[in-house]
Amino acid sequence: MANEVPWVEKYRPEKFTEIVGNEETVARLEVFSRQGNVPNIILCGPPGVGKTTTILCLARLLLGSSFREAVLELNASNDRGIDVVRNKIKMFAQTKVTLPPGRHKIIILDEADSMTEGAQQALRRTMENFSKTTRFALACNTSDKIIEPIQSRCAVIRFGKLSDAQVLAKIIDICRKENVSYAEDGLEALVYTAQGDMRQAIGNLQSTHVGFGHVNGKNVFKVCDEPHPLIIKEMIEYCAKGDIDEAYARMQTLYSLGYAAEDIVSNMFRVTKTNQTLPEYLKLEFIKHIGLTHMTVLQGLGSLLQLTALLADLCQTIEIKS
Amino acid sequence: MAKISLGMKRKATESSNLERNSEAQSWIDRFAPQSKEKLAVHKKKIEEVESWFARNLISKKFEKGKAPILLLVGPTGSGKTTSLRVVAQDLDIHIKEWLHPITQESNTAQGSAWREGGQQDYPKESVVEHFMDFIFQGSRYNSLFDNDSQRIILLEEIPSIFLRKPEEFHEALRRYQAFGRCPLVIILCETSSSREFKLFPPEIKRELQIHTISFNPIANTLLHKAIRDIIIEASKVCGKNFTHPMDSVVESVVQSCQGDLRLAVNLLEMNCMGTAKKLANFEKKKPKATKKDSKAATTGIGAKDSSLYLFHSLGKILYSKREDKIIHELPQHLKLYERPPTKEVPEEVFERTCVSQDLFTRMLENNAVNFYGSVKSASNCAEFFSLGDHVNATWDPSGVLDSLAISVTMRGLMFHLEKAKGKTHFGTFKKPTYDRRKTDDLALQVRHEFLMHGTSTEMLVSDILPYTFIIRPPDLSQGQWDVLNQCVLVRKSQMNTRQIEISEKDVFDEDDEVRVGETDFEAGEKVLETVSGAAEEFEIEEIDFN
Repeated sequence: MANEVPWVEKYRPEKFTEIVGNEETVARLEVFSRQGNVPNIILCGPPGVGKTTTILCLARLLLGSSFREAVLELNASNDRGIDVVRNKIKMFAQTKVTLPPGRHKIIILDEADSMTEGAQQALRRTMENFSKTTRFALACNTSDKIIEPIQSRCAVIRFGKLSDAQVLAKIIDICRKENVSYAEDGLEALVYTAQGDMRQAIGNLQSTHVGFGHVNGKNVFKVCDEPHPLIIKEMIEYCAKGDIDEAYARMQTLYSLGYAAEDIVSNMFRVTKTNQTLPEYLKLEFIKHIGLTHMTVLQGLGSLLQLTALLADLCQTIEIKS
Repeated sequence: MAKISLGMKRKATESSNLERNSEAQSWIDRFAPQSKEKLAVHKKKIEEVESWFARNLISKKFEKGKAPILLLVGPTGSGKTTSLRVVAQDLDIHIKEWLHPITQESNTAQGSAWREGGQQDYPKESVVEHFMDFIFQGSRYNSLFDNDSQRIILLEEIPSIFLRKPEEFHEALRRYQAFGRCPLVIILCETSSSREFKLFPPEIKRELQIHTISFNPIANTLLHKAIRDIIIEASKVCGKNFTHPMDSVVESVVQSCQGDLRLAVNLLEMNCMGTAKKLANFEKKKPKATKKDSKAATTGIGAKDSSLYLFHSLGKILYSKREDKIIHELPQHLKLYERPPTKEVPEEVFERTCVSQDLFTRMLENNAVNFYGSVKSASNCAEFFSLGDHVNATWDPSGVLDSLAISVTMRGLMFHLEKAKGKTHFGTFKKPTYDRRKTDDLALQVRHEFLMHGTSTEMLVSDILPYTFIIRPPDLSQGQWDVLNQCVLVRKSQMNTRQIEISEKDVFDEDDEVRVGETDFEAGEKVLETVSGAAEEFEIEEIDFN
């Protein structure tokens, strides 16, 4: 078991139909994979939604057996300064690979938002000069880190976060294939901690499975080591009622368990944001106070006193001011 | 060696003309305009380019040692390169373009088709030398394949080494002007970040008599026309893979690309070529009403690709549509703050835009002004903008604060924006005008032009420059005036209209005390300051440099 490949790689989709989420976008690219002549594309979206997977699928379908020689993949761990763009990319663009009509060599630049501006500038002309033989596929998290001239030369495709149901379905699927013993609350915890990031969900699933043999809520939170969202949820709800004693009791428990103030506060934000029962006004005020406290914590004041002050602030929003 | 590469290049362009309509090309190349009439650029600009050629090339022989230099600037996709190529083709001018050479020792085992610059023969040649050789020899000697036509040298990519050492570039230009034998055209892309502008300070432009033609973003009418032409042409050549885009699709493409024709064509290609299968599905389910069909297609566009979505999301936040019924009740004393739930979850809207929270905040800030229903809502919103900014200003390695900041801003806006009575806003959204990098650039320029020891940039901008502007000392150089005009914006007319607008729609139907100071929405970014001059009153906009 210990020598197994990461499940993230083992279950990386190879066909468009296996890709979870963003169906329309994927369907559109699937059309291109059959027609050929894909324009230069930028895929952007949060981590773990399948950007790289989609590009690899596209390249594999387009190029078939010549995938190896007709694809150049560079990610942030490769050196991608101006020189690499000038030399490696250009040289690859110039190599001759015999491909059927409508097919092009593909240069995949993963995590393109970490490329320096100079390197992106250098890419600009290369993109145009070799458009007859080579197409670019860029993946990034936010599109505004890509300079305008590059954006203008590409079709920008946005990927949305995966829904919890999509992540859950995939995790159950993997659990079945791998014979993982799991409990409902374990899966729930996995989905909660992943926040729509499929890679993280699968990674945590594997770690929990390897580490504890059984996937339940307790074990998942041991692996991820986050303050338990249920406690935080209760705490927030007591605040919304103005009951500071109960809220403080929970805060003290969490603090005495040794969680850093930063973790507690950022989880409070996460829970508040997604809570369905809070009225909008309270939500706004809560997030405001949590934000301000988070700042204080980051500046070094992560004491229980600060967290208690936050609770007091939250309780006060509902109190009648005399 | 330049000749070899030119020969190859020329061959490439010839063959590209032959197979212009071949499947293998993207729409940008396939439907590139071939004649002046088809260019989507404003006629005046084309004439300007043409007349420059007429003056400097056709009417023959500029003075020796005065090789003319033309600088084309403009935002991306405004047709700079395309105009130049079309005009040159028209006048039978041959374009030689400098391409950056591969600087490493190249690996011959990888049988590559051809290499430019022949660096195998000159492995130690530096980029700068290569560049110099190219521009001088290129201007002197005809290409072997060339039949004595006129030629120009085109520079679209400036060696990055020059960005660090602009003096060297200026020296190269000076030498070129002295010894070059044909006009040099430089195309620069005008983006918020472009460092290349620093290569052309005003004094160099004056010294070398560089003629500048600046292109504007393409007007929407021209954009429409160009796109329609392309759709017609595409429907002829692409056959069954092509699906005719809905009018609404075309409209949203035009709206979202903000005058960038290249982007528009790219989006269009994506939309027209990528939907074949989907539409086929629709045809199978024909019984369904056609209305739904078209609706599905348009919403698909919005949810799917490209910058289209960004503008929809702005609308989602700023209009903040709500359900009819109040679900969550608040205690009596807070009844005032009870609202029916919003239809959109702001965090989800933001996540789908895939832009950084900084940009999204600036976008909101720029566009929210039209949505303030009252001074009170304006001041509340401004408070949340400033809170978001405040939270965001703290350094945070985990990035949690970023999402907190945008969350606070969006929720604050959605909560506090009130619809103006009897007024609906149908305008288009604008890109943000405030750009930190631009102001940083400006700050650099200010320092460059007004070197005064012992003064901070802040002091220069907030104290010295405004008064310099009013006093108008006679010994200012042209460059200093340029910076002054950029920096100390005299916005007298603009300021007045803005104030009138506010008073019309807000002050009269709001009982609260109104101070004009509160209406300064762009709180934290711009501080308005009134300085009384002797005769006139100037409104001076001060820009925050930090």
